[in-house]
Amino acid sequence: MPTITRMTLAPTSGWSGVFDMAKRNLWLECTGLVPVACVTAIAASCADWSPSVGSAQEECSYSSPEGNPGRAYDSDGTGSGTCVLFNAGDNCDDYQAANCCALSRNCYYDPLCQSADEELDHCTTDASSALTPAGVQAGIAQCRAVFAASGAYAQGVIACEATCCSARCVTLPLTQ
Amino acid sequence: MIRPTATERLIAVVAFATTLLLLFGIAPAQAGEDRNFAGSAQFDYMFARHDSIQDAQAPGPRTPLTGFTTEAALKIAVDISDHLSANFKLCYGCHGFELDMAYFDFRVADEFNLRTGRFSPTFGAFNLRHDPANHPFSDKPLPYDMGRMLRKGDWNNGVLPAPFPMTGAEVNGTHWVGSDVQVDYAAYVAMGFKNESDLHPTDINFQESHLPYYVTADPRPVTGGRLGMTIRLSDVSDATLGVSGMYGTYDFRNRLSYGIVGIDIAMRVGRATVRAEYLVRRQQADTSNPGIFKYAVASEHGDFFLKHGMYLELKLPAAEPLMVLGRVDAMIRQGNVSEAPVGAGGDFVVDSPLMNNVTVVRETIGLAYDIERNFRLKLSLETWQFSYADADNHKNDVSAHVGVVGSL
Repeated sequence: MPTITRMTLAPTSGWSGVFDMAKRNLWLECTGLVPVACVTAIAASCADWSPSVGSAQEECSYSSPEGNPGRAYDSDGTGSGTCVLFNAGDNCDDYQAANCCALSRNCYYDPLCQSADEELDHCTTDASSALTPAGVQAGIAQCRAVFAASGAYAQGVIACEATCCSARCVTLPLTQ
Repeated sequence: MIRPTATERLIAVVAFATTLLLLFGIAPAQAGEDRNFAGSAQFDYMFARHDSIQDAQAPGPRTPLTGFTTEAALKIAVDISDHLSANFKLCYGCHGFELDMAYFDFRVADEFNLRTGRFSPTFGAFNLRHDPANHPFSDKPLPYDMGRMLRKGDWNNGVLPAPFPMTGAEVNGTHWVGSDVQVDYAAYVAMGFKNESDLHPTDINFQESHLPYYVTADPRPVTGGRLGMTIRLSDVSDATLGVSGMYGTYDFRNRLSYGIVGIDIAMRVGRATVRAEYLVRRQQADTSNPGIFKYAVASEHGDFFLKHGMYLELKLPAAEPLMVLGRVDAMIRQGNVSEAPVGAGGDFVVDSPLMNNVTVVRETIGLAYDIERNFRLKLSLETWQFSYADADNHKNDVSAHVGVVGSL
């Protein structure tokens, strides 16, 4: 009994091959990729329509003024919208505590940022021993630049100090 | 910025009105011209049980507009030819005189009309009824509120305060499918909303959309449109469904976007109507100064907020001159809260009572009584529920409106 083989038509041109490939791709898309793509697109678009926030600035608290040289923004409860600062001898800490509380907390919760923050403290201590005031300023600026470059959380703290302090507390200079 | 004085504004308005009269009122009509002169005025008194202490400041964007208010408008519509018509509308509201309409319609066919000039682009269903003579309540639904809502300073008004006239061009048209289905479309490019006065913009400054400056430093237009379908269900009933969208940037650097989408549904049976709309605005904010925000700025999806708005409105004719009204509307705001007041220019901050997820729900019952043709009494009682307390520790409030509206 002769074997009957099913005849297939060979592509008559390059275009038909392209069409075949396109059909196969279309089939793949229809069966598998489209739902995946749709789910991915919906998930991405949903996330893009779901705003996120960090912790509230006012949730920051400090155990005692003695323990931490600064107080949270508007922690006096007057609702005045002004900063309540006291001179703890370190303007930078005061600013950070008063205005960038939540961002600082983000940094403290992040091991890398926390480590960089400790480095910043050491660095500023060393820089403060420079012989001239200009040298102190330059050294501290360098320390802060290194800290800011350590990551997004650190950059957020520095950016906050650099900008929001002029918004919330205009009476004290930014740099130490 | 040099702002015109009140006298200069008055002179400008008088000059403009005189020009309109000369152009359309006194000048002899050309052959084939059909002119229509219309006007309306609403005088309303609003009482609120609590006037929030924090909002009780000098009149301005943050002040609740309780007490007496006037909304008045004069409109001239001229059919210049079979294809060309013009509409000019001058209105007076809480912040003075405003040019609500100044546009030409060049209608090639029912399916293709080109509109150019100053107009409110087609969005949603309420836009067409924003004149107080065209809607039965004293105030607008919350998604379209422009100053009547309580705590408007906290919320910076509604999702899309109406009207929103802007300069641009729109293509719109209508096509009948058979005799029972009508399809409408509109697509436009227009100036869009702005905030060019704040150092770090976080929301649209609607004050910049009216006097004294209409121009913008942002040359990129807002784009948008609406697609709607109306089905005639019977001789006395029909239903409409529409979807709308709008997208643009609002800062002069073209970096901060806003997008608004909405869906509108309406059903009419005789003189009774039910209308519902849902809008949501996605508003990007400048987060380069994190210190002005109430919450730490999240690294992902932290640079925008959402403002949802919705309303369901019922208009039921009782006896012939009397209409019973009911409305439930609400807004939801999600996302970080800027404590730098919109339009204040700088980055000084105030305590905002808003949180990252707040709601307001309002229920309204009302009566509309036609004292005479084109002269209507409006009464309404509103209850408010906010998800957050105000400075007086109130979450709920009650307000009432007594108003009259006339049209000519």
